[in-house]
Amino acid sequence: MEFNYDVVVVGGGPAGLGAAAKAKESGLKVAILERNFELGGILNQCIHSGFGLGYFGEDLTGPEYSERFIDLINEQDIEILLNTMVIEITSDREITAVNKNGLLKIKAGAIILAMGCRERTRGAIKIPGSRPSGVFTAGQAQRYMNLENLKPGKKVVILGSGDIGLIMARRMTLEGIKVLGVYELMPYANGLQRNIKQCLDDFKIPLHLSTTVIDIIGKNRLEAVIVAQVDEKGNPIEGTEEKIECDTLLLSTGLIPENELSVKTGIILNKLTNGPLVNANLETNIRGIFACGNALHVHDLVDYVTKEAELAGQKAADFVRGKTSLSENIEVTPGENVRYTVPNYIPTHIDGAIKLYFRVTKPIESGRIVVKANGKTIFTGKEDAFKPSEMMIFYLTPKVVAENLSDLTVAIKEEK
Amino acid sequence: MGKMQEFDVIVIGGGIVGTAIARELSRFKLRTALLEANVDIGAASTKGNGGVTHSGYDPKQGTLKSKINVKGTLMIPKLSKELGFKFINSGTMTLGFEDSDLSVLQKLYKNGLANGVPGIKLIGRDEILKIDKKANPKATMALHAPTAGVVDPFEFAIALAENASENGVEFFRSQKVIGIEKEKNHFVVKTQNNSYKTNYIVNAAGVYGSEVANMVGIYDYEVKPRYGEILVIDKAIGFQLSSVFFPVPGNHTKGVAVIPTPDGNIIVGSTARMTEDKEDVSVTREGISELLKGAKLLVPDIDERYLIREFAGLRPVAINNNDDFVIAASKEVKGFINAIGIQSPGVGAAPAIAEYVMDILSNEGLELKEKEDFNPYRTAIVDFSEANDQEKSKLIKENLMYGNVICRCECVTEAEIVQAIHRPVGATTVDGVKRRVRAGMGRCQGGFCQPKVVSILARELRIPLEAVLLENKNSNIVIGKLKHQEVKG
Amino acid sequence: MNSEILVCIICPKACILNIEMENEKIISILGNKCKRGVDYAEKELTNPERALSSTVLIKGGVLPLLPVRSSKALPKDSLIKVMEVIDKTEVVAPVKIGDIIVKNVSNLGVDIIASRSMRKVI
Repeated sequence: MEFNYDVVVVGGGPAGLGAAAKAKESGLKVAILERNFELGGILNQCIHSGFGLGYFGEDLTGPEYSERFIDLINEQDIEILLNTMVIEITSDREITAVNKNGLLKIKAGAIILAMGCRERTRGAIKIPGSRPSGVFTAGQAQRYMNLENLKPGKKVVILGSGDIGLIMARRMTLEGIKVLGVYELMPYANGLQRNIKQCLDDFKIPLHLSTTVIDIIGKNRLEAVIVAQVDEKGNPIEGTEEKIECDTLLLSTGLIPENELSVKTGIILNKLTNGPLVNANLETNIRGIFACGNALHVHDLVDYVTKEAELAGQKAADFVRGKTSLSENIEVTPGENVRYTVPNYIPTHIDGAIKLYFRVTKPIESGRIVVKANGKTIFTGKEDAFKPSEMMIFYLTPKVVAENLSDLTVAIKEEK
Repeated sequence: MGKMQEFDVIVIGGGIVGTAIARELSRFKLRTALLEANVDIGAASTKGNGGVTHSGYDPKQGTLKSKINVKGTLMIPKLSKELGFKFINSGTMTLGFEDSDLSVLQKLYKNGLANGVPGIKLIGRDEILKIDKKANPKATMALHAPTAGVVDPFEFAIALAENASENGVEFFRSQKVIGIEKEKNHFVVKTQNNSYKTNYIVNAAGVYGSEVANMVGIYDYEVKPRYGEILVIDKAIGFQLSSVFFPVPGNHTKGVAVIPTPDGNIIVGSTARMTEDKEDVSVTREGISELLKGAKLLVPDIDERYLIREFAGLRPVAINNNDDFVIAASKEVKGFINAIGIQSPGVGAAPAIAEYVMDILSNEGLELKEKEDFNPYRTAIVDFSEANDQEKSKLIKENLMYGNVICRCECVTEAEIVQAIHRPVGATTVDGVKRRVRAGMGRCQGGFCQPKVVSILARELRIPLEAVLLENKNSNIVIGKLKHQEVKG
Repeated sequence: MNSEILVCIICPKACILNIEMENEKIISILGNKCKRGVDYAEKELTNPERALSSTVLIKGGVLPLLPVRSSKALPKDSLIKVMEVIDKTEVVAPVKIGDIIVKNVSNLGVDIIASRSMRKVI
């Protein structure tokens, strides 16, 4: 079966929905390919509130946020292929996908990658011990509980203070599951402060910083974990071991953009994010293929995902209509205390403001954004606090980027 | 209770050794059964090793192991075609770095020649890099053994079991043998909930080999486990290896090897230490570092950021038998045959062990009459991810479930999972599905597909979702429903 | 005079509020980046409230559970009580987003409403 569309969006979560809706505004033929039986992506299992404050100015739950976009998409003439898995994308923008109707070959004017992310696993973080059941990633447990009406366990230890783990601590507590504590390897929490307050503090769930799980015990079902404090290098400190009896361990130790498809297409990834390297149009190294949302880099707020996706949708539509031209680009390099930036390339001449997303490498109580170009400081920001858990946005304006650039570095200068 | 089931031969243990013996027995007009203690076959020592089919230069000349190893490994390519399991004839290179390594390699080379290993050669750096450019360029010499290769050991065992089952062998799983009574002309094998009558017993009980032998009063050998950890590296590391790499061996083991799997991953294994505990397969922090260090020595590009899984296995070692296999009929207990202490190179040796056991059984008076209708062939479940576009279209047309991709990392479809469940000796657990069709084997380690696999298992086996097991008894994935319907009076 | 430190949870900025109080009345608040911080501090120190989300069983839907939430924030100490009501509730598909699932739950003047639409399975 063969199809042709102007813009094909891979993934029907918040990024895909936002991108498709925006691309459609240009009157193009748009399709969304979604592997699940319905649109909405992971938001459908995020039944807690806290979504939409930025985009809608309202406090919505995950399903409410996604339903707004699903309604918007459904009102328009956008082709939606559900239960459809994309298995290959070629660099000349031919997509191979499968569903129960067979193997689909889809030719696209532009492609937007919005596949989301996956959770870091036990294997990736190398927790020693046995391999019983009862060890879940936080999102996996969330799916069992919120979508499938299944109870993961009775007594839970959570490793990692990422937001999903914090949210699950509250969710489980409310459902009568005992959450014994949250353990975090780093000396600071990884989730948003508000989640620590309303998901842990409210329920008196302890958060143990600089502590990690060093052993997993149980042949069949999890029976206990051993936790220990760690030194500055993250190595367990002898003598601080403590055995905690539990039947469930949730891992909330980070998310990784899903780009297996992208790599096979020949798209170059940023080693710092695991998402594609993109220019200011969110276009990858392969012309006409764009990326947004958690497939590009992991966001902490869906509102930012939508905004970013809309930019990708707009630029993909512009590309199809021949409205984008190849401009000369310079590289944006993360400087001191900055882990990564998106985009990675910006044009040498900019007309409007470019949103630069970045994250810091460590909590900084007081610091200033410093932008350097051609070795010279061209911008110094106001004093502010920075946390690794919070994605920061900086607007590169034509005023800041006035001169002819050859390179650009974004750093945070710590104020003592 | 019904009538006790009667057999000519019972194989105790469904690992690579037991399944190979069962498959060999299925050629003959016999009533054969295999009893497995675990929920699934191939889920003990077999799943916990590197899968290398060793060429046979290593076992000391004159040992039983040396003869059986060389012969078994040479049988693998043909078997792989018959039974549809993956085998890559990668060969092995044992790398030497220092002058002192040369004498060890020469000794191994001579031992290999004496064992009759075909094609082995001592090679220099240029040839090493020609065979695999990922080899550490600091290696100055290597013993190259071209007949060796790699299989998925559990896929191999499952293929053997399926074929044996199709040829009439009865498989009973979750049947831990707790006692054997020797009557005048037969045995009664007791498990927790059943008894089976048989004329012959083949003891292929792995690390529990001595416990089973003890049940009939044989105390000649003690089997103890040698514990070893293994790492799995994601395909995303971006390169594949063309050879298995070993360091110059230590006293009892072949050292930390780097192994390309037939599915395109790389595994690193294994550490080695003798232990008393026959159940504990916990991984240690020290083990993981030792493996990474060992791996980088052979293949410097090994990158721990691509680790997706760490696990451990237990090798059954007959400790008072000079590291050799114990494959022999008991002199005291007529009809009882041991096939124990099958540590490395058990995977490659398995087909030859099975043939050897047939000779023993025949000598012991069992009549081996070939079946006219023995079917040596088993077709593998069609791997959707490996099919080309046309084949994919055709598969979906014939079976809609091929159009439903469940495991996105390994591109495994619902059709493959359902087949894995309904095949002979089929999967009943999440890990059982994983071993048969690779769902959950990839980088997300079942993060996404596990809930879906759980519901497919529940649906196909007609059991509640909360009854679905990960692997062992009581390893339920979830413990029950979160919310219950109110019972209305 | 006494002082309190609160983390504002209204938005992800999570401002740290330094509050000076006298006779259980707020005299001054420092650290808030917007006015909502003041409202939050007042509420949190007098009558703390939390939004609640959970699920209820649904019959005949595409999923076994329907996500629900409180229409307004609930008194913080009522959450467990409200959860008991939610856990006993069962609805039948189809449901539309915003449908009232439990009216005036525990007489708190707050409804439990559906936070997604769910069609009937055909």
